[in-house]
Amino acid sequence: MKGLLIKDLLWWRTNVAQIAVLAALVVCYSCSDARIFGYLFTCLITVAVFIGTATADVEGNSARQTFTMPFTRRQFVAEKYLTCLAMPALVGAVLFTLAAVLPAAPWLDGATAQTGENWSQATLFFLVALAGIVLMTAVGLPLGIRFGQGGRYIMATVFALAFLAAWAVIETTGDSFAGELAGLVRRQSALSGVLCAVVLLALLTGSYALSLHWIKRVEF
Amino acid sequence: MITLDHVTKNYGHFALDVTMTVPEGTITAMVGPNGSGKSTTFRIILGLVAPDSGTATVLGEPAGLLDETTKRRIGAAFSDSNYPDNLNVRQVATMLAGFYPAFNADLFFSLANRMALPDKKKIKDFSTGMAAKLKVVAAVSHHPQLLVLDEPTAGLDVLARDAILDLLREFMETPGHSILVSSHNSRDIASLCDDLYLIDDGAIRLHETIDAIGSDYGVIQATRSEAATLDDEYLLARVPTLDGFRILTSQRQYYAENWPALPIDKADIDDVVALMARSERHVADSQPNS
Amino acid sequence: MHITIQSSSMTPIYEQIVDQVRLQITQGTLAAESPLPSVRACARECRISALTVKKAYDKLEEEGLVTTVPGKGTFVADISPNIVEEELRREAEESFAEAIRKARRTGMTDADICELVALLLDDETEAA
Repeated sequence: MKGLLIKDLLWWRTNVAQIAVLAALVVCYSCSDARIFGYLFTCLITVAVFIGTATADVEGNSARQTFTMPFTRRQFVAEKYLTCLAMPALVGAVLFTLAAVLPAAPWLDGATAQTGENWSQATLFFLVALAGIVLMTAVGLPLGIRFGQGGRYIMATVFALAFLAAWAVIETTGDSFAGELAGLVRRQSALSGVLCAVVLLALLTGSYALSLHWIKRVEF
Repeated sequence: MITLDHVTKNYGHFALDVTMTVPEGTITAMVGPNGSGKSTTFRIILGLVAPDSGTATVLGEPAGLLDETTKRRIGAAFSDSNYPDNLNVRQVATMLAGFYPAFNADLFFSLANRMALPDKKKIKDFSTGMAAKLKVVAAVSHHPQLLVLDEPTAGLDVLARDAILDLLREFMETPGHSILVSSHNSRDIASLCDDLYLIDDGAIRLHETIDAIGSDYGVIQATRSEAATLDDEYLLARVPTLDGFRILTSQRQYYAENWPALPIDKADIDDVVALMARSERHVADSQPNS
Repeated sequence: MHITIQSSSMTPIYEQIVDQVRLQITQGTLAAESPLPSVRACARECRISALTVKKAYDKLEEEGLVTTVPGKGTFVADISPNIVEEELRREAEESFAEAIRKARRTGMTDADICELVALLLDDETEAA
């Protein structure tokens, strides 16, 4: 497991461009009035990049040599799930804490810069981000393992459609999306949260089983 | 250390059926034309491909279920694959250290130096020779028991080849080590290996010691009429030429003594491969007479 | 121990090793009880198969020139170079005796045999 983590870490270090893009995204969103939404988006992009390491490992020129190294295919899959879930979650935790603690950019409307409001907003969006991360990992990793680079395109299409749908919802609700969501959750609160968590967990378990099934069938 | 018992793999147009052993303390070569199944066999041994039937055992464990502890005792290299190509030599060392507790960084870097591997260049910018050397250096640096190397000297100039071969001989000076290597280079195999398996069209056609090939094997050149007079017993392959045959024998002394007029030369491994692969009839399966 | 292998020679490689080691022992270059290189080390030095080296070492042990201690290696036997030479002389004598017996069976006289020997000696001297 340790070796796999180091391998992925090295991958990140040598793909500075990816980190730069993410950092740029963060900065851009921080200066806009949609920063919280932007941070959510950034987390999801991070997941996509981690799924990218999975496809590179399984499909690339280095696949054969890599899989002679001392790890089982089960460990490989487990490590991918770990990094795809934990790393973006960590990024999210950092970003949303910053969102709650730091005031909004000075040229923005002061109304959105209330610290108390920000904490609950930030927490809310963090939970939404976590759900998004789990969803993306659950759908994206098996696809990436099964279809390699092709899987990423399938996944990108699926999520593009999902974002479009979400956008449509936001447009039609008219009011601030954050307010709507906050209201919705406050109304349903605990039960809906638990239900959500259970569904996501089930999805993740199924996804893990599928990934394991598919990785065992790959011939390097 | 490696035992394959009727390991089969079917790819529709190609069927593999291999039975072979690599004992402890041995350097075994696998030779044969391209597409004969060498690479597939290696991939099965390393658990990269699952066989359709048969048992493949490596270091006492089934090849398909090698756990990380067993895999740590194996060093492998493939000619057509390398470590992630955005890494440089230092980063490869860091990665290997994370995977292999027995990884010896000092040894790795001293060997890398000896092979003149560039420190900061990424693998994607390596020449063929550098890439090949890196893989072998990496394979020996974590002190494995078994090396499985698919064409480790492919594309190397003679100096680099000598350096790699010497590294492998040094590896064998520790008791309990074994190497399975595939190669197209006849001289490399003759100067390094103890025995060889010839594979062609998915099946093992010959298993013989390098010593026996050097001392007993021969190539007879005969006209059609001369060939008809030859005793079949020690003839392994026969390839038609313009006016006769080139014939491979495992007992050149016998034919030299009894058909003194016929030109008979020592056979090198290239001769063995070429004649066995193109033989107009597959003579009875040659299992070792050793 | 310095061994030179000629791969182009018609003499099997293991025999070349045996001959050279035997010579070094009789000449005293290899002292009694001194260690021979390990099979793998010798294979590495000569760039040949370890099995060939093993065959040579086995033959040398058969001739009583070396002894193998399991786990320790192969050592020159505790014999004086003279003894080896004497042994070789004895073998040559036996070969001569056998040749004479064969010659007599074909009906050659003692004079014929001596003439033949002189002729062969001349040939050998020329060839050398």
